[in-house]
Amino acid sequence: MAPLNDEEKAIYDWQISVRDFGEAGQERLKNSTALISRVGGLGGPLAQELTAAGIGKLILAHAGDVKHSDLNRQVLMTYKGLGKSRVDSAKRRLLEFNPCMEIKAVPENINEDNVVNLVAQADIVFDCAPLFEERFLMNRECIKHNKPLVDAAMFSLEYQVTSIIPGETPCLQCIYPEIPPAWKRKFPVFGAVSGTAACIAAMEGIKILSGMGPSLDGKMLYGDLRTMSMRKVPIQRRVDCPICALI
Amino acid sequence: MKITIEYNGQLRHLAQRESDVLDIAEGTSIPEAVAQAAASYDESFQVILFDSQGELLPSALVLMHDEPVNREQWPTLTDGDVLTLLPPIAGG
Repeated sequence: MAPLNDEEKAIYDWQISVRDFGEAGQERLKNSTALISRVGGLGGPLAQELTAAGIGKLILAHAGDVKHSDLNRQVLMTYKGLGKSRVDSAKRRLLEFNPCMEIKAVPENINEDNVVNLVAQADIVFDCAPLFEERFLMNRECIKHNKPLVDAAMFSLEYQVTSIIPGETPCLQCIYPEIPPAWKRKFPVFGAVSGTAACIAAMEGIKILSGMGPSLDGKMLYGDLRTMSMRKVPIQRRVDCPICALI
Repeated sequence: MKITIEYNGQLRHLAQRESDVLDIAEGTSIPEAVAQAAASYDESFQVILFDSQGELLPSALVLMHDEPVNREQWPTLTDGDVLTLLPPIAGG
């Protein structure tokens, strides 16, 4: 495991003093790779927080170019970047923040053809995709290869986050056994809501990678920024889950 | 008796409110109570909760007093109960 150099110790000094994290946690983060599926309203600020915290490598998967309708929430995208690749914009912004990290930009959304290879390269996966089809693929591969998955989602002023630890917690298909038929690709969203969910998911991932441990294993954090309330909802494994029941 | 059904996610968006108080008969099951509430709204609301056979979809999470309910053996509703509906969301 590569140790921290003096510059890294200076940059991360204020978080190294966090109880149960320390230099050992920072080193683990430095030597970790995270896959983030889509770097839009949720995945963008999540990538930014992991970058700021000192993760060693990010794999960013997101197809398409920046559109006007992205700019209310996708904080790694800029007006100047309209019409240009989303994932390249994200990579450029993140490297301005931390030029020492490694970023692999994949101009594709997660699909059946790339999911095996992309998940295999990561120590942890952050699921920020707007379609259940993509979420289910990442869930399947993470369970199969024993990789933690932090699942975050939002709608309007509400959000939810959970950590899926293979063999220990319910998986995404324990929660949603089938693709929910009524989910629509376009949803109401404020950037501050997706950003809130992103920060919570990033912190959960940092705890998993650094060895502090997750707090949302077996529970789904549900937050509502209309009423400014949060609750932890217990979630249960399904004995007949087609993905994780045999683990 | 009266129970409260709280809506979240797409349900709240479509209902344009956070909850309804329902007057239900003794012995009404949870799926029946949810169906009674859904009947006040249009089809876009109902398809989030029920399949074409009228069965409550497993992807619609139901909590009673903040705890998940056992769908193998639906608990009996009593006056003052609060049900929370958490439909699936995947906004990213």
